[in-house]
Amino acid sequence: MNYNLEFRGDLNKVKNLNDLEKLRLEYFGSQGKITQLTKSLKSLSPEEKKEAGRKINRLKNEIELAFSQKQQEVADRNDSGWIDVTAPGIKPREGHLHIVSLAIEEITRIFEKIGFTRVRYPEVEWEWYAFESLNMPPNHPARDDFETFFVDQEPSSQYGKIVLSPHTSSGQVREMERLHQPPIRMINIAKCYRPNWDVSHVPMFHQFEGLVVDRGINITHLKGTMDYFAKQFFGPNRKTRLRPFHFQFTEPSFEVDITCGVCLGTAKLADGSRCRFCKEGWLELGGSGMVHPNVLKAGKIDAQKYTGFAFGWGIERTYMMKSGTKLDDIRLLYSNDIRFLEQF
Amino acid sequence: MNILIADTWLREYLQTDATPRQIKDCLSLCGPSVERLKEVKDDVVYDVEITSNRVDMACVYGFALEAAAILPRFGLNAQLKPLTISNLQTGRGIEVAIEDKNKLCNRIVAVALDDVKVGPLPEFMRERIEKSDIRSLNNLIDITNYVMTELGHPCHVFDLDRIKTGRLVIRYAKNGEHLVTLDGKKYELESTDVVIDDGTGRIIDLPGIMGTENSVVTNQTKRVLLFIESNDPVKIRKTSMRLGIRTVAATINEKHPDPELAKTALLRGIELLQKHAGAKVVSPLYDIYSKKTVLPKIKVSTEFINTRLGITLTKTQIAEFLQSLNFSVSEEAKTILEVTPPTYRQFDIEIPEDIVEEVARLYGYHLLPNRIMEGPIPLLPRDQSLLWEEQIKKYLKYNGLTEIYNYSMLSTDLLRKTGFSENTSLKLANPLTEELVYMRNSLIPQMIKTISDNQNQKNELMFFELSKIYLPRNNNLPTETTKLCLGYLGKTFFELKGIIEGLAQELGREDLQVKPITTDTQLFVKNQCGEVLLGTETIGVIGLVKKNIALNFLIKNNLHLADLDFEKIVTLAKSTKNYVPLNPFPPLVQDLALVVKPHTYFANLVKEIEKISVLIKKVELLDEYANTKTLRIIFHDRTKTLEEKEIAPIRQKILKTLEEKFSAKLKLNS
Repeated sequence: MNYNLEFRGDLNKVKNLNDLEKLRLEYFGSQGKITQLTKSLKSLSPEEKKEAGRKINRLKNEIELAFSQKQQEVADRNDSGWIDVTAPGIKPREGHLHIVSLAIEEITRIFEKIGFTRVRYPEVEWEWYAFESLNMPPNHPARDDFETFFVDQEPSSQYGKIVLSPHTSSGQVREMERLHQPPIRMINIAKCYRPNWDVSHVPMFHQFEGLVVDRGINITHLKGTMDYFAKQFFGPNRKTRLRPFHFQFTEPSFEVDITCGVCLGTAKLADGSRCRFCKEGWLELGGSGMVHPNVLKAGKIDAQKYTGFAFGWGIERTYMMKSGTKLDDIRLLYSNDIRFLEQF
Repeated sequence: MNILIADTWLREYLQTDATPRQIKDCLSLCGPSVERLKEVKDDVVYDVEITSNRVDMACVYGFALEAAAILPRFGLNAQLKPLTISNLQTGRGIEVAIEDKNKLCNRIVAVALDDVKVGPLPEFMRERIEKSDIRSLNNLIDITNYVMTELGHPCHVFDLDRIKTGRLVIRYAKNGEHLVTLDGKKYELESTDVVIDDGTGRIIDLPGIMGTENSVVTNQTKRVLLFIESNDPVKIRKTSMRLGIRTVAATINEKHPDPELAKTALLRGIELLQKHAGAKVVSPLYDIYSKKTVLPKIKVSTEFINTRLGITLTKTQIAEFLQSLNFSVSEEAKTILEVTPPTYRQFDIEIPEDIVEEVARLYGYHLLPNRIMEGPIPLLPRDQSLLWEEQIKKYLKYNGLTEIYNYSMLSTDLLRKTGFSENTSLKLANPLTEELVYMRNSLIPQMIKTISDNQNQKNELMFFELSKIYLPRNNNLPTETTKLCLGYLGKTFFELKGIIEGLAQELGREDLQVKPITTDTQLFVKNQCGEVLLGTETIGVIGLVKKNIALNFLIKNNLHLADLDFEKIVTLAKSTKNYVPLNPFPPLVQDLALVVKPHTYFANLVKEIEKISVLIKKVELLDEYANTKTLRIIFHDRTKTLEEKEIAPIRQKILKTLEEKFSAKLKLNS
């Protein structure tokens, strides 16, 4: 049978892609003519096989070449038409994470790299964890009812009243109790509550609290960690400094400052005018300090053997400082206006 | 608190070549933070932040003391010019009776002066207090403010003739008693407030906070009582905050200034009254010192200090730093120091760590190296729920949902409008406003409100919130549990269900089901809602919100919600995937268009069909129109390629079963 001739006859009848596919199956499919021909070689003797094999190969090559030329011709005919490539695409619907979620994730990643583990502790908390264990006696101003939210429920004889935790520091002694002994490297991120509600305060906000307790922890470790975070989060060209400060649960206590990202610490803008974003080149990041021995004692950790440092900063504030998102009204963060949410 | 100090006034007590800018920069690093320099006329004013433990620095002299210790650390010469007060010549003629039986004050010092002439202070003195933001009134009042700003102890001057009785009785107020402060405002007192009474029951002062109208000096004043009391800081703060009288005196007194300073301030006050008001001392100097404090002595080793600093200082260096701050240091043992603070630091310095702070800041925090902890990294399991939380949030975001964050507290009104009960919510004892009274026990009310607030922005909204709720418990903290709430406006039930099915898949679970709820519920429309199950575990609810509730929020479009128990989801999620070997044989697919009775659940059809043969791998709903459901049934065998004739009897059985159980009939192709 002259396959070549027959094939060429069939090939001439091919008008479109469908005909082409039919022809491909007829010759090259698993039951196709060429496939069958190759299979028939099996019954021949070795010498016959060699001769026939060569012929079949030649035939196959010729047919394949003709087929590919036809494919090109039919396919090219198919590739016509015009579309407006400048018209907009069909986008998948875009969703948004809240700015606080974005900040939490980024901050968590940075601290995880240097061995901190993220934890979470109760937001509705006993006074004991929120104050007493943090060396804040009953008369401390932060415990006034215009500084802290109290829950309308009977107090416990052991732990005092129930409060909405005004800071993530309440997690310090809880973490010491959980682990029983150092090393501790926690990053506690949670909601905090304070009774202030105006353009620059919201009654609910978020803090991230770091706590490190181990043998031989000293101020240089606190400094190094703060500087590492600041450079990772804000950029390697930023500098940090510690200033003396006062907190009940740390001693010594520090305020951590970072050079302003707008004037780069010069306090002056390019046009020579005073930078209004910072205080003379510096921005306050937040508080920190060496863990007060009374706090270690409250967490049943031997304050003779171990020392530690802690810091607790506002998520919202820290993130705003980075992104340069200057909200004229911080309440916008929790107003859930979609026009705001869709910007992040 | 912040205080303002004029540079010219500072230099009266500080000899230095340092410029104001140098003073600002150096002190901020090692002592009080100077937040800004303000140029006023031909002077510079320091705006200084004072932390609550360092009220001793809240004055010109205290600031000078710090500067004298700190500036030399930066190579700048600086020396304190100590305060010198001439010896007091006490007078005679007037006796005043001061009674403090219950020891409500730590110390009271007072002296009577006669022949005062009311008038203005010299201009340079008026300018100084005005640079500290204190309004100049007359020499008598101005002198009390001048002394307070200069030395850091509030003081008061009475018109002695207006006290009438010559008695001052310190006592607790009675509940409901009233007084009128010198600015003419009337206040109601409580039994925890401390007042001064003239012995007849007439209140003549609110000590430590503000004077009263009936005893304050006037332009006619001839005789005065200069009166300084060291108060109980806690009582001062409570009264001052409750009454809302936040004077500079109150903000200093609530921080416990040094009682020793009271006498220094009195002497300075007398000196100024003599010089600038022509006053003569006409009484003994009264000094009732009820609670004299003993200065703490703190033992601390050089090793203790050095291990906390992370560097090595010698005993001599340490002693020098402390002495520059007027601490007295004696050698207790070879490496142990005994340290005593000056009286103005007696309440602030208690433990060895306090000494560490003084040494460290004088050495300079900026000179300490930055290090990361060398110790072992604690190997703790990561909280799985935090990891899932991140993954779930991202899944929802990439599928078009927008995350919201609502406050944890909400109003009675919102609970009621959504049909939730306040009885099962934790209540705040001191809510800030009516908006924030209860801790939420569901994310749903605020989700509905958020959708309502945004419905004018878009026709379709897809929100989620992943947050804690608070469930009260008796005699214990509430249970805090995390919920995932999804809210869809203007979308169908199946779009919301689909996202949850997709989410389940993301969590490695293909077995999400919704079990119809056919009874009445508080929130959802009957027969358009259901329980959400993963396998056999209920993880939440989904449904169409009742029109009546939606209308409470003026929501007219269809509102679907899902409320899921995130913590349960986390326990059911699979982080590892199971590999099933690929089937080398092709599946066989058959579509059946069935006419079924109204309200026939697809899930029930599937359950029956799957029982019929192990070759049935999947039943899909291809299409649904009126009472016709088109099912796609996928047959698959691991051992061979299935052929139509093998499937025919199974198909017959399916049709028979469905007819028996659901009166389903095969729809003939028309």
